[in-house]
Amino acid sequence: MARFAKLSVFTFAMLGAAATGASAQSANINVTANVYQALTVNGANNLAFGNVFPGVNKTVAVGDAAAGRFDITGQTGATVSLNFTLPNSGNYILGPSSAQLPLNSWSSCWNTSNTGGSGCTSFTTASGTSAAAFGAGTTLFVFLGATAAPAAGQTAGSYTGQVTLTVAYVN
Amino acid sequence: MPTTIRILTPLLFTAHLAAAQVSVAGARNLAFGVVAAGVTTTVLPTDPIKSGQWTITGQIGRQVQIKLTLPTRLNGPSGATMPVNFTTGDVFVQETATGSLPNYFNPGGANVFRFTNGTQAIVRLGGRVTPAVNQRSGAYLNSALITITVLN
Repeated sequence: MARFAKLSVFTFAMLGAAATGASAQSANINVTANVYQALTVNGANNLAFGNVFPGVNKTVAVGDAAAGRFDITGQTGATVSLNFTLPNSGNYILGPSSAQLPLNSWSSCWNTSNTGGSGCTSFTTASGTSAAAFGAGTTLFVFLGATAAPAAGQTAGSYTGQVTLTVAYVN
Repeated sequence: MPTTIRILTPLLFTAHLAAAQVSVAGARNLAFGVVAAGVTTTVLPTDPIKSGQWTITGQIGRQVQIKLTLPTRLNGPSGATMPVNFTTGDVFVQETATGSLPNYFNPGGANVFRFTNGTQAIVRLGGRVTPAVNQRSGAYLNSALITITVLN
């Protein structure tokens, strides 16, 4: 008698229904800012050579009473850049009948105290600095000196020029 | 006794496991840095340090929609707020493949972008803050969201 045994093996393989990724993706970034109080700059003292004599150089140092001075107020602890714009590129100031009084040897320094002497940090006048710091206070003082070099035949009279100091926070 | 064994093997079929078609990640914050009270400060999207940036990864030929959700103010100390705004010219998308050019778009709208030269692109964000003269000093913060939607 024949007997049949059936063994049926059904093999199903169904692999991987489509796994769809999300059709929308999102991501955040932050938007940040650090507000400092506004800067103020005041021309507090003129650079005053006073009386000068033809052929005789006269120097005003940053520590002298006659030195130019700017007073700056701003954010405690902040660092600022200091940049001068000198009269006639720092070469001379004008007098009677457009006579030119030569200037040279500019000097400058900044301090958190009102003195161009002890503790005043020097910097190159022509190129400025990006490292002046308010420290624990809110006031900076910037001092300016130079040498007037009148020629032997310098025209007598009053000579004047203007110096501008530009101050900006450094990031 | 004969034994019959039948093995039925239906068609095997597979479907591709589809990974996420596109991905996006934040790469850099939009950082205005120090801002002086009373002085409007702008960051260009081309700024390599301060501009915000996202990176989008996809497949060549894939087309996506880019949409930004941007703040109108930053939140600061003691409840102070500072206006921030974004205009056309403040955002672009650019593939990272060599020779790819930036495509600027309106940050308030939706931009359609297609991967043509590679599988990666960046979105760069600039903007401007307008602190008041008496703006309270301190740190200000908010967030910007990008949403990438696959079109095809």
